[in-house]
Amino acid sequence: MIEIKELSKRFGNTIAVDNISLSIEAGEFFTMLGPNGAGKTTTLKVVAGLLNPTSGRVNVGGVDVTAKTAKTKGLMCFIPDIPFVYEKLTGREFLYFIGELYSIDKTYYRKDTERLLELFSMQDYGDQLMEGYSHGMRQKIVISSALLPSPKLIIIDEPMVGLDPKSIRLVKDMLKTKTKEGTTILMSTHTLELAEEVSDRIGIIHHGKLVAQGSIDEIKEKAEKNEKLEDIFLKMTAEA
Amino acid sequence: MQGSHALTAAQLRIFKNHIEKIKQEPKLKTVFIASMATLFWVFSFVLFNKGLSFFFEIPVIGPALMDEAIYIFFAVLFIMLTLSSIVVCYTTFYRPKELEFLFSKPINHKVIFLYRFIQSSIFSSWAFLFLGLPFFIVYASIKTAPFWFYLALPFYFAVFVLLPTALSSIIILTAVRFVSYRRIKHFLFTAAAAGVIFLYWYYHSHLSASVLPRVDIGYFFETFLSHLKILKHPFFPGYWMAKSVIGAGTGNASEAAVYFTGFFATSLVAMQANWLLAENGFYRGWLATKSGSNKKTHPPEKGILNRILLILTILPRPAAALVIKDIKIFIRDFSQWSQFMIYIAILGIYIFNLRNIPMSQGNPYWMLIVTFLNLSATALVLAGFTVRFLYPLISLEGAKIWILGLAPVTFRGIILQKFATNLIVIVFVSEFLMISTNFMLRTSTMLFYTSCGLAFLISTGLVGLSVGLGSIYPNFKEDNPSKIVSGFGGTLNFVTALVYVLLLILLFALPTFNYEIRQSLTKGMYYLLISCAWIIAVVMSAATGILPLIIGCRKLERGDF
Repeated sequence: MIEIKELSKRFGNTIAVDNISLSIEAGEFFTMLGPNGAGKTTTLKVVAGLLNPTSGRVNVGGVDVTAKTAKTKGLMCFIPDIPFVYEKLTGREFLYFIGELYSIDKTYYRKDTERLLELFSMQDYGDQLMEGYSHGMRQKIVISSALLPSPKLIIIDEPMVGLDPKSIRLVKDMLKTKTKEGTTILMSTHTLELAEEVSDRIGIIHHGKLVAQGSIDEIKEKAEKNEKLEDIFLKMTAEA
Repeated sequence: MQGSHALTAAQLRIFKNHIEKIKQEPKLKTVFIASMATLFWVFSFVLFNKGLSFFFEIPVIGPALMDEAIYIFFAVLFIMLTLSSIVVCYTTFYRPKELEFLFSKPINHKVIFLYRFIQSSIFSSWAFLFLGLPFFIVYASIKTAPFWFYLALPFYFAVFVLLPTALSSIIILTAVRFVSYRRIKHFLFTAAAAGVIFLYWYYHSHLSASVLPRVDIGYFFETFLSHLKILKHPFFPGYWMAKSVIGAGTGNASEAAVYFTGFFATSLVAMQANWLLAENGFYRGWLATKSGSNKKTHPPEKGILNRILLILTILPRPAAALVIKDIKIFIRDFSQWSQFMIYIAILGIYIFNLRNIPMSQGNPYWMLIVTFLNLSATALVLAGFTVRFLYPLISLEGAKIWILGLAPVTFRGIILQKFATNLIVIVFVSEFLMISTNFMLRTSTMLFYTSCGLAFLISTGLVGLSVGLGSIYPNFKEDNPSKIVSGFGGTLNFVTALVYVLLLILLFALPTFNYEIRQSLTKGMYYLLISCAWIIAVVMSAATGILPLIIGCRKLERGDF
């Protein structure tokens, strides 16, 4: 589903992503781990087509993401770490807006909007302007908006920030179900337990380089016996 | 006062960092902005010089007329500054998210208020500072004012800005404290409606009946000015400042000092009132804005607005969704529609006043002057309007641009949607203005069609220019449209729009004057020149409107978000 070949991204003199190559299969749950400023969000944004690569290629579903055609953009959804939304729209209006923007069948998206609002316990707030929402409520709306068009690829940057425990559980289950249905998920997080729990494979990124990738078991095999993922992560990302 | 030192130091640091950032910008960009600002300033200087000299050189009544112009200038400026400060204070005092941080720190609340107050003064009056300087210099040079007039200028500027902001601040502090933040829009809207009704009544009972019957220019001025006595009321602050400036211009130091002191003392009293209100109410007012219940709106497709917007479903679905989203956000943003209403009010007053211009005598020179001035005035207002409201459209997507960046619509489609929908509105407004004003002015058929055709071309050029430049120079980090407009792209947009409008009008005005008034052109030559003017106008409008759109599309499609 995703083919990343020798991807690099620079911001002026700063190298944010340094020659990363990676392949993610359809229906796979891939998680990127890394310390702050490692290059996770930049990689995710390049895959989403929100940033242009300095060099290298990213193909999603066999199509170069830099082409940014309406068709390729319709394949994926992105859930950013900070849920920026149109504050002067209500939650329900925002979901309807997404439904129309993606030209989803009207009856379907309206029904799905109500289902998602109910699922996230947001029915009572659906007709309030989002400027009055808490961070978690906005995050719920953004997650709902990403699920509404039934994308083939979901890219998520720190999905659980601001969510209550019940919603965290809900999102985890929902994402796992989605992968079983064939949706590919590319996620970045600092929460190692979450990565361990939901991921089929993980990649550890440090100073823009992919220093390790594989299933949890494969990564543990390469490390010392009985070492926790946290210890492996800290060793791999330790500063010289 | 606790926190004032830290807050001042932080602001100075922010300012220094801003300067450092500007230094890192390409030199060409900085030189371009500086050149454009200087050019605009020089243009304003020449314009004020022509205007004030025109008054001053009218035999016998010239100097007195110029003084009358000063009274009107300060009266209008005082009212406009107060009105714009009300909008700015409303948005600057309670909305910024940094207030949560500031109120949680050991900073005296009055210091926070003062900091917001100073910001409001700068936001609402920087244009006055920019344009006021050439005005004062021209006035002083024509009146051959003493040297100390120039030395006093900084004090005039500082004090003249202080009182309107202080009065607006009192209104906002009181309204939020006693009316509640969520009802303040209704309060301000009611106050504005009352103001319009008062002006309408004043116009009808004092001005229109006596001015309209006779049309000779001396009588017109005499009657008109006698009815503007309200602006010279001894209790009106604009009058004090005008008196002081007129006194200083003629070297009458005592008169200048007396009126200046009166204005300054009133400003200090207003500041003291602010201080007391802020001490007792700024923090509590801010808390009240945070405590109100989040009002529910109508569910989609219910309520009057949603039902009206259903008409847009004739458009392709993504385009309709974008237009409906833009309209709803605009209507729900007080700072946007309040300034929009000010523009509408200016246009309303303009049309209203146009009825009084004596055209029925059939003097072709006067008729031509007024027709082209009417076209210029309308085009310049539209230029200001498109820069203020259309240039920030793409930037206002802000940090939410990822939503559009990922949606299955191209940036080309998004930009075209913004261009097309706004073009329809602007063409409607400009043609309405042209048709109605030309009917009032009773212009010839030829001038009527020329004005309407030019209005269409100008609308196309201006909308394309603003939407296009807004896409080329988007500022996704800023959510205040006024600040977005004051950046490089906004300045470029404003200057280009002015040059484009003036060139286009001159293209038609020059041959028309030479044919109709000077009679230096044959009929054949005139028609040839006008035909060429139309071709050039179409090419110019297409280039001004379409090129920025194309470049803007490419910039966004290749951009990083």
